[in-house]
Amino acid sequence: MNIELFKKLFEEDCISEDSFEKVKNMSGNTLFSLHWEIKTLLYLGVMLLSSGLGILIYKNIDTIGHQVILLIIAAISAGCFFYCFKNKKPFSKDLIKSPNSFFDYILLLGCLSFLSFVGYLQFQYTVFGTNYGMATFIPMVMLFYIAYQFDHLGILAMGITNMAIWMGVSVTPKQLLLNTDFNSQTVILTYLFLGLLLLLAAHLSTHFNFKKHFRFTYQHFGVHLSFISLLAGYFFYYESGLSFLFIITLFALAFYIYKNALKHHSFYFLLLVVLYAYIAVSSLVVRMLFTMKDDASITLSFMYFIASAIAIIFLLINLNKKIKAA
Amino acid sequence: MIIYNNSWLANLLIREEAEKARKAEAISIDEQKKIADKYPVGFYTPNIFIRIGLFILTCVIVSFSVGLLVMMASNMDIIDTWGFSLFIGIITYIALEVMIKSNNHFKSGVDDALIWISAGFILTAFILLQPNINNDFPYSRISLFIFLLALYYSLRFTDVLMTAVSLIALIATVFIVWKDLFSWGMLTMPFLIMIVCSGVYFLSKQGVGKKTTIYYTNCLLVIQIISLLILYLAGNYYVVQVLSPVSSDLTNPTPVPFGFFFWIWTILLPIVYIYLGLRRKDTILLRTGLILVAAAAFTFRNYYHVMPIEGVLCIVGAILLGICYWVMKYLKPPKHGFTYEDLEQDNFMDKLKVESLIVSETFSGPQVPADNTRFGGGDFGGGGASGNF
Repeated sequence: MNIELFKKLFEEDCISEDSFEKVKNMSGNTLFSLHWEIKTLLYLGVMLLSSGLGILIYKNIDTIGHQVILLIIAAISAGCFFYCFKNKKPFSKDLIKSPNSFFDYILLLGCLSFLSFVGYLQFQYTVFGTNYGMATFIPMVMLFYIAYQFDHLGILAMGITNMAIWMGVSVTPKQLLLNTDFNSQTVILTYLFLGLLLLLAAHLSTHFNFKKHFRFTYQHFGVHLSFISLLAGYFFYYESGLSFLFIITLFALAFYIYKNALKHHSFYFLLLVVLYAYIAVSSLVVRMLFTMKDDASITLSFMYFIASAIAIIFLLINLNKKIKAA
Repeated sequence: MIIYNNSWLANLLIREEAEKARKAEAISIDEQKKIADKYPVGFYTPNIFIRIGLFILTCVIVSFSVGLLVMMASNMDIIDTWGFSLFIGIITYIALEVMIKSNNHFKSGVDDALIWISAGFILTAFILLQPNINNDFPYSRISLFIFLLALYYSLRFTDVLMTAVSLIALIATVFIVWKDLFSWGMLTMPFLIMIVCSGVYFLSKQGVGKKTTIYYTNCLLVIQIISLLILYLAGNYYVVQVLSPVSSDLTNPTPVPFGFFFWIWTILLPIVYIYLGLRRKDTILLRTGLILVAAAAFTFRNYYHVMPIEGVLCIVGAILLGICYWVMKYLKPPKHGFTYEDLEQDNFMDKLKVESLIVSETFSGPQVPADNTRFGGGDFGGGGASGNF
């Protein structure tokens, strides 16, 4: 710390003599934290090990050695869980701080190798027969149980992803935008249902004060899923009157998320709600302008975008102030 | 030179120091408030998410305005003329200066967007000005122009990314000019780039903490990172071999002269970085070194296949976990001024959330819906890209 600066602050009577002494003592022996380096290495280690094991099974799937490998993976998974159960803290409804990061990542490794194990069992021995629902349901339950038991947000997110797989869709936002086609009605409705379910889970977590900090993860997936599927539904039923049902639901949901974001001082959800609602409003306006079938409609829609974007900027600036003041 | 209000920038630094002191529990919140009252900062700097929103919206406004202009001209060819690009570039630059001067925007998203848009248009205008760009592209002139342009932007707006662009453009300029200047240019290239990079590194290292560069601290840190990275790449065996004039045929590369020296450079330099980083408690050296260990490993594997990939992954993963476990055990009571504990507990929750999202993004990649594809194979997170951190 900058001693000169604090000396000046002390002379200007901004800080007390006590505090100045503390600052002076502190600047002598600052510790150098290796926290983030180690965390990154742990993450890398878990990632490399689990993908290495995955490839190992994949390559040896028809050879004699595969049962040995299967056993090794089961042993790794069991070992990780054994370590975690031994070192865990008692269950609580609130936030439990994990003993250390090593614990977190060993738990992650345990879950990943467990998933490999189940996947392999299903592929090679078809333990669950053709009942794919069951094959994905069991890992999902397991993941949610572990997430709640050990208070691990990463595994909760994996559980949510697995839940989507169970429902027959893949839920990670990246993939949602990249390689899913929204042309099927069932897919849209499934997404919508899942999204709303996750939002409900977020609401219940805070309402019953049960793992309140899980709200963010649930809401993150829920908001993206619901809004994207509502928009997709709107465009899917573009010609029929049903589209307006989707857009009305979207605005209702936007209002709810907006109130919720203000309540929790969340800039992130506020931004999301503004952007998704802006897309919805813009698609309505453009639709209206183009029904005029006039040459001016293109020019008008360009002007609309310029004006509306400026308006949204002012809206965001004001909302930012509003949250800060609250 | 800096467009921002200098006394506010100074006050911002004082506030940051006070914030650090409060986090270390040396001063109380009341004292921090007192300092904040005494040293006002009038900048408009919103939360990061609002900043992203403002960035996107500014881009929307500019692109639709340009579209409108093109339509009003009702002549699509206008897009290809350099005058039009220059015009847009100058207009957006003026908007940028006005936004900052009159509305006190400081890293608000609006200024970020306008910096990139105006620089992009001015660069486009310069490229379009070049005669017959299709036949022989004037790389050296353009990279020199990028260097000067980005240098201006980073000096005026203290923008970190612009600084990075300008340094990379500078080194590209040196590279291209030296290549064409002498017939033996490519042979001496690694050494020239090494000299340039180490010079830049030491200059920026000297510059940190000086009175004149006090507002450019972040820019100087970025310069250090990039010059360290390029310094390594200049001597990396693979890079040297690909660029070497001896092996013009890429499919069948020949060994490099002084290969021994470059191998030592490839393997040892990351370790030297890490060692110096730990010795001097320099985060930048340490983290760059850690990244470069991976680069060294990939280079080595490219030439010597000791064992199949899955074996390497398993062993390296296990070794990494082991090292981490050992370091954490070793530093349980902090030793030699090192600690494992996170010193900034304050925004612990936020970091945790981001981390959880990263975990789910990378580990759920290859899983496909189980309905009609075969389930498993189990190579979770197989993408293997380590670019997440």
